[in-house]
Amino acid sequence: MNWAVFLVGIVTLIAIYATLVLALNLQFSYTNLINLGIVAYVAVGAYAYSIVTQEPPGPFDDYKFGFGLPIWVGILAAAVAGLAFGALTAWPSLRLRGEYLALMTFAFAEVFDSFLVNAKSITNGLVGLPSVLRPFEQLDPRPAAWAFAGLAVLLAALTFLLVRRLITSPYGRLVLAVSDDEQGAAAVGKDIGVIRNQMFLIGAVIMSIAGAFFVMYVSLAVPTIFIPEVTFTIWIALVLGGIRTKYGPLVGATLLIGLQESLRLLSLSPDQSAFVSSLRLALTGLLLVILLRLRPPEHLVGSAVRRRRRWPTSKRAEARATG
Amino acid sequence: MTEATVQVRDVEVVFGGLRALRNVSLDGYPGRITGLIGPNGAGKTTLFNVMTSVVRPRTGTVMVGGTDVTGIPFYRLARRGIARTFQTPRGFPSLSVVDNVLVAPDHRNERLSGSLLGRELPEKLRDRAVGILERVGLADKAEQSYRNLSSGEARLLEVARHLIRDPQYLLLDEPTAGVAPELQGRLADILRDIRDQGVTLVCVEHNMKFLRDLADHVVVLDTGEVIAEGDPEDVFKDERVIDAYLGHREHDVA
Repeated sequence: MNWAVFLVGIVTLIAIYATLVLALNLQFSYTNLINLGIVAYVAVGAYAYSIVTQEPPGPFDDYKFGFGLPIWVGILAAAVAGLAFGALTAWPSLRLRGEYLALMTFAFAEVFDSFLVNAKSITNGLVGLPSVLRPFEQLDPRPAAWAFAGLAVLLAALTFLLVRRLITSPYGRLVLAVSDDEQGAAAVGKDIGVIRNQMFLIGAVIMSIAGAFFVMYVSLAVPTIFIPEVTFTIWIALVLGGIRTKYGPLVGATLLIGLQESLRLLSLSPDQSAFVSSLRLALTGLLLVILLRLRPPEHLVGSAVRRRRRWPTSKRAEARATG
Repeated sequence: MTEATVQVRDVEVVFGGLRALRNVSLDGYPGRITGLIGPNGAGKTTLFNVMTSVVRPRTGTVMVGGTDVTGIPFYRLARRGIARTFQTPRGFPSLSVVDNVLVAPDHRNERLSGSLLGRELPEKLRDRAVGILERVGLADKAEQSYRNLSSGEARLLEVARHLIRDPQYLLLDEPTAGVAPELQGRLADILRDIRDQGVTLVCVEHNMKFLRDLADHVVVLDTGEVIAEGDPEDVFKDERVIDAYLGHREHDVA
């Protein structure tokens, strides 16, 4: 294994995952929205980007759409698609709280997966969209990979700054108040639904943009890479780094993706490779069990603000009653 | 007397087979504290929930400032200047004491767009928040965490949070619950002060002594009906009121 190739890949992947964990931090840590369908928002962005940037289909292709537009248009399309899909899923879901919202988002992700497999004229089904436009293709492969890694790091850095700005602004004060006590916030005239929707949609858009980067990285949009494991990896990284922390999402993504990808270095023969890749899943699960057993989910890196309770259900129930 | 700004008219509420309120009417006037008392289960909080559109009455209306408020979402009531406190004080533990007040006013820089543009709340608003904290005696704790407050101080902060919005109506659900006796006097002074500014106050209270000193007008509920109303001194001498409170009375007055 070539160390430089390994390193550039791992930096890119960590940056993309860090972006996703930051988005989940917005939705879950600051707004109490449990999104178990993250992978669907990633896939929406990935497919939107692929369809907008790929060449029009040839005579033997099953899919019907391809616009051959530049990369930045593709990224914009991913953001818009994420917003649209976010709004579509938020509308029926966000009245729900806690585990009900979790189930709803999970169900949406499953439905979307089924769409990806079956809507062949758009997604090309299980074959996927193979000719994903990658940035810096005019460069040699190695500098191109590093330039792309830099772009991914830039995305993570911008997301980090956006989250910071949102949370430390007067709007962030309102978001924190709503997550602490919805009825208390409503009592001073705050429309809770608007805040929850906005935070959910910002998260969804970031996830879809990260999805565009993810598909540039793997260079193939196919349903088999958009599996629930992606969602759970992001959740584990958030728990690992620290819920509602400033740097936690970055630390969690670096540790978890670093660990997972390092296992690839061990693979020698094809037999062992298959064994290690299934071991990877088992290790990820084991890591989560150990984490939850050893320490409370908040406070792994040191949280800026400690939550009173993780699931303040009783107050949410009251808030639901008052609308 | 000026016209009532809070008008509860012939409200009836039924929970399953239980008639929680029967033909209850109540008036609130600007610059007056209307006390609502009654033994446990009399329907005080239910009436309050009707007034803040948490519970929909089967019949009857609630008019505040001339508009019917039954069925309006809770946060919209607050935007119409109707402030409500809860039996358990509400507050935001993630925020400092002064931020607990600063979060209350609806300022345009508090919107998402303002945040993305990097706008802060004006310094004037912050000064005002500190001024209101001074008024309720919490200025020295302004920068502390909400978690450091006692439940009595949390109650004062809840009132302060409403004050910065300049409410026209303040509905208090058992303001003395969980408030240490030494803070109750301060709370009463603050409420009188608010009343003297012309705010309409309605106060549900268990603590008869507190209400006797504070209220200008008292309405007594028992098993869902108004059994007496009028001047506090007269009402507390009313035989039906004493009967309703028999067994409670000594404890409450003492």
